[in-house]
Amino acid sequence: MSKQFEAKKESLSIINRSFNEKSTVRDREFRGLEDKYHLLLDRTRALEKVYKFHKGIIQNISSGIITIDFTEKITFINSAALKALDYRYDELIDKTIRMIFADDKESESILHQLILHKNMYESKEVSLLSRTDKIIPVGFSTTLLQADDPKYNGVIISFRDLTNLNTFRAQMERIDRLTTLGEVSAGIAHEIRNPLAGIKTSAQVLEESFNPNDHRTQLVRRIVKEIDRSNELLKKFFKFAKPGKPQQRSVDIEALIEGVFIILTSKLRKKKIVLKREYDHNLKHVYVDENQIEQVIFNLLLNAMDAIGEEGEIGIRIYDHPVISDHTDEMVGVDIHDNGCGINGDLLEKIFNPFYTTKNDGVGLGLSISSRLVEENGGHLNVSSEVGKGSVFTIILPGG
Amino acid sequence: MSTVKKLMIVDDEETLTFSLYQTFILAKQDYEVITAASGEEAAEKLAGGRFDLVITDISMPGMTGLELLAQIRKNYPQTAVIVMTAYGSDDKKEEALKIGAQHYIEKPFEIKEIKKLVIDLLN
Repeated sequence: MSKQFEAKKESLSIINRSFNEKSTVRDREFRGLEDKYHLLLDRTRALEKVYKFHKGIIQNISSGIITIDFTEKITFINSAALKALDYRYDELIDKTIRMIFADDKESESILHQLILHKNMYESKEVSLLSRTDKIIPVGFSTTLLQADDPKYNGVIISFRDLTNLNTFRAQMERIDRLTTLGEVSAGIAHEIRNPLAGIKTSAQVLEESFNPNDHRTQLVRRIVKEIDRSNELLKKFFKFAKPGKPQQRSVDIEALIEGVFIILTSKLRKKKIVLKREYDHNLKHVYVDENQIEQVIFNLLLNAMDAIGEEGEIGIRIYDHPVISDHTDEMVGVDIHDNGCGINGDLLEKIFNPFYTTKNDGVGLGLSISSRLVEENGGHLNVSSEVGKGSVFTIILPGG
Repeated sequence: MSTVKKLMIVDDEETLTFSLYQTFILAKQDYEVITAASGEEAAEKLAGGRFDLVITDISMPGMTGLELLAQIRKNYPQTAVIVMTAYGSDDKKEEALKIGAQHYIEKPFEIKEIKKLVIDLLN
């Protein structure tokens, strides 16, 4: 009996030892697993961070980025691209890239090169089409996308909106063109004024030799009068060619505009024109030559009144951070808009050319001089217009 | 002692020099009027005798009116100078006055205006 008991005790003790040993192993294994879990968790978190960092770069970059597969389907589109094209993510994902091109022929040719020949573009300009059918000029480049998952293989398209850049380029071209025209005008005006001086002096010497009641005195006076009239026109040429150096100082733009309104009050009333003011009262000062900018506002308001005809509305808006400039931060925008006849797109750039006019009694120097004056004051003058709806002239001036 | 004032009109525009010549010859004041068609001709005539006043254009082939003015200021400080020009900018005016012109007049001018300037300078 006692032998049996001893044997059982012994076997229980073995089992107990073995259990304890296994338990220690399990504990060790468990701790090992726990360590591995924490390591994995750390790595996953680190990976998440890297993922979020990369995603942040792609989503916050100012360039539009779109990826397509080799069936022309959009596989990814970043926030900048969505914003530029005015689409939601789900409206474009898995759709054909062709829907965002403005010109079918152009998209055909580009996709042919990209998809079929795998020819990438380093820099190319193309027009895209927004959801609201707005044409957006962009500059783009492409890179072949070779992903781990072959279903994402395709092309990365990176683009930048060139609207502002193109407006800026157009402004620069206009300044160049006007400067050349200005120099030519000044040269011609100088050459004409010289003989005019001789004619006028001769006529006045002749006038002095006649009795005041002599009919020849009247004739000579007419010669002088016509010379003076021609000279007034020539003076405008000079003003266009080389506006006086601006005497810039901090000017209250609101007060300046209101001053011009006062001058035009009776004309505005006669035509039944309603004025609509949209002033940002925090933005009162611009750094300009008061007289020159007053002349510009005066010219633009007269043009708006002419565009309106018998009755209508003229609006003036003062605002900060105007788009269409290379340094918008310190600039102030003044929009003068009318609901008049509007200007045909083909004529829009021409209206700034000297001697271009649609008025019977105009010489076509008002807008070209205005444009020169604004440029001389470190600003820009732009226009947008729609036939039948009206025009908006935007004056961008340095704040101050 | 002679009180006749001597003035010279310099311009390559013959119609203007002729009409100004007539103006000052016919004037009530006793003026001796000489004309020159270029800066070089004027410089030559200046070397030949004293002048009280020179009325000169700026833009002329060869020596310009401003170069002539600078020469007059250097060699004949007593001679007054009126500069006339068909340019429409203030730059030329500032330059002429800086070099030492007494007056600046823009073409085409009123004959009364130039007569007054001349009388004020010479009498």
